[in-house]
Amino acid sequence: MKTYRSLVLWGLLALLIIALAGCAGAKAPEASELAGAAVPESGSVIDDAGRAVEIISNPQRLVSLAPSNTEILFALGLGGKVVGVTDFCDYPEEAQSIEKVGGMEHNLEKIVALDPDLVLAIGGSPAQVEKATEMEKLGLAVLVLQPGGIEGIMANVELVGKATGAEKEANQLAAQMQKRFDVITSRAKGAGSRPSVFFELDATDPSKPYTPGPGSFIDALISLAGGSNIGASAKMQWAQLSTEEIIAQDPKVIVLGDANYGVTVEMVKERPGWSVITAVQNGAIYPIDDILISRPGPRIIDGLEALARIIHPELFE
Amino acid sequence: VKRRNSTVVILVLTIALACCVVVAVSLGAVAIPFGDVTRMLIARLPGMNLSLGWSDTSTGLSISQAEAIIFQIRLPRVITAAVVGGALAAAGVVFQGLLRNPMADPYIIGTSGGAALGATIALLLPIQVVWLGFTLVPLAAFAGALATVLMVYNIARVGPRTPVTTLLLAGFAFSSMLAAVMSFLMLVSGHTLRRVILWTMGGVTASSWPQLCIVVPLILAGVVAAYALANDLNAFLLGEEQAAYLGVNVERRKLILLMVGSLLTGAAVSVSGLVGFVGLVVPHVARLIFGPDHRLLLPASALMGSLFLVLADLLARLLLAPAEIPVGIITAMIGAPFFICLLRRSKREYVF
Repeated sequence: MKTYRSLVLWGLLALLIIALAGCAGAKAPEASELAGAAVPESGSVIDDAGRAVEIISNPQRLVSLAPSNTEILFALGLGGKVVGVTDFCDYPEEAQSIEKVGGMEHNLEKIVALDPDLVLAIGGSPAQVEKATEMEKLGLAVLVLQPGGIEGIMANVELVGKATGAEKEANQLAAQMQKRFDVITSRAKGAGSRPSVFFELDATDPSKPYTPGPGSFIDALISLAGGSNIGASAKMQWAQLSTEEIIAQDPKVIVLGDANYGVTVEMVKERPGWSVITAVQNGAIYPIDDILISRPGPRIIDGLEALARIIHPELFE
Repeated sequence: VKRRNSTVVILVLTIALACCVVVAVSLGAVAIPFGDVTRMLIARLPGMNLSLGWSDTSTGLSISQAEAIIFQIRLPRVITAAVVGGALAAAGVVFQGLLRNPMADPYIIGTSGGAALGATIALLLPIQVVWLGFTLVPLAAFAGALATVLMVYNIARVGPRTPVTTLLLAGFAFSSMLAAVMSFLMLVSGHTLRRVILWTMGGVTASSWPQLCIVVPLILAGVVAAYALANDLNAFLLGEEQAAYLGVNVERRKLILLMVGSLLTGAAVSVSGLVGFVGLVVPHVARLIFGPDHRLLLPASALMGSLFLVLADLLARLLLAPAEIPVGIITAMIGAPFFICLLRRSKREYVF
């Protein structure tokens, strides 16, 4: 009964918000017509959602809707132009003092009030692309970034450079990333072995932790770093492996992607049954900063290198 | 004749439970042949000197891997399911008998709210404490459950007496308050939220032998104590006044029963989180089959609760393997239709 009532309440609230958003959307064309009166110079780029985005040249007010986007902007030396970020934009430190527009959900009013020349959103789900379209109806220029893999991140850097008038810096950064990427992956490829790796994403329930499954971004990173992911045999991209399966697969290396959330090497050693796993017996359990691994920004190369150093320490001596 | 009948019932249920445990241990995400599992189990029994002759190459497991899977992961889990199911069903019988209320379950006077709040606070605290193999969470859940019952009991006391109605109402009010505090804590808990939700859904996954070494004796002692109070529960069935005429020290016994029931619930909840349904329905099923005499009802319920939760957990592991379903979903999805069937089919009127 209680849940039913709160469902009704939330439903009504959601309807109200949708209705308000609709009103705002209906008014938007006037706003853009007004802006059009000034006729600033503009160009068009194609974003990762396949949308052609009209952007004024050299945009001065930028809003980032994801930590990865914020990192790209700062890496291109555009930090001073960023006027809005999310609650999760924690890197570099300067980003933390910028006006927040929300966490997972973004406050549209606030974004509009910041009067940005360009909003950097992320894709990934139809709902997120829909949100971008909704913002566009409010007269905002919205670039959706949705990298599919590490090459996609480098392409994103160049795309952001093109959209913000920082092309030179972007090409430089992308080339630098590419160079490091090539060095690490060619070393890893040349390694004599491909140790089996268990990557722990979340062990809220330590009897069946989450691990990156086949086709996931981290699965690809592990391969690039010269390891073979035991989660690749799972069915889903975000898969749960029972302890039984982990013991049967017997990984040589355990990487703790949940180290930032309080999981320690000691805790893993003490889990029932884990002592027979080769990685545990050899002390090959390594914490990793999951942000480097999972955030599709310029630091992804640092993440790849950290992973390669864990899997193949001999290559980096 | 009656006595012999109940001995037979208990014996049959015990054997069924033992068989279920063996089956549950031999099935899981990684396939290990049934024969190998039973041999490994028998080899570990005291006084057994059996060479294992491990030759299985079909699974590609070494014997140490297989032993870790069987003895470190599956067996503790199955034993946890058995003792938790037994404890909740026994506690259900105690509370239903004591409160003379068919809707009573082990959580009715606030144990669940207290345990959940305790666990939530422990999950939110940024400290690591390990005591007797337990982390802070089960300890806080256990303490929360018992503290809540004590408080509810004291609130409900009217002079020298503790009327059942006041007890129920105080329990309900107190639970609501604790639930509200917990909801608020969940709201501000950030990334710990997942852990809190997982805990409240309940499950029998993560127990280790050191934990079981404490919980199993505690629960066995609780069930034995409850069995020793079976005659008092029978007397309570007649009403408190009648029980007093029969020479039962009503208020005293009420407090003892309350403590035994809460101890059982607290111990179960501390290792498994909030597993619902077992403590409410298993006692009713047992009552439909074996009648209302607590001398048989109590041990039979405990064994059926064990059996039920072992099977439910097995299904939870297997139905969507390799993914798992929270056991609470299985207990309700299978238990409720079964109970409805039984209600409809029983020829006589339900005797509470």
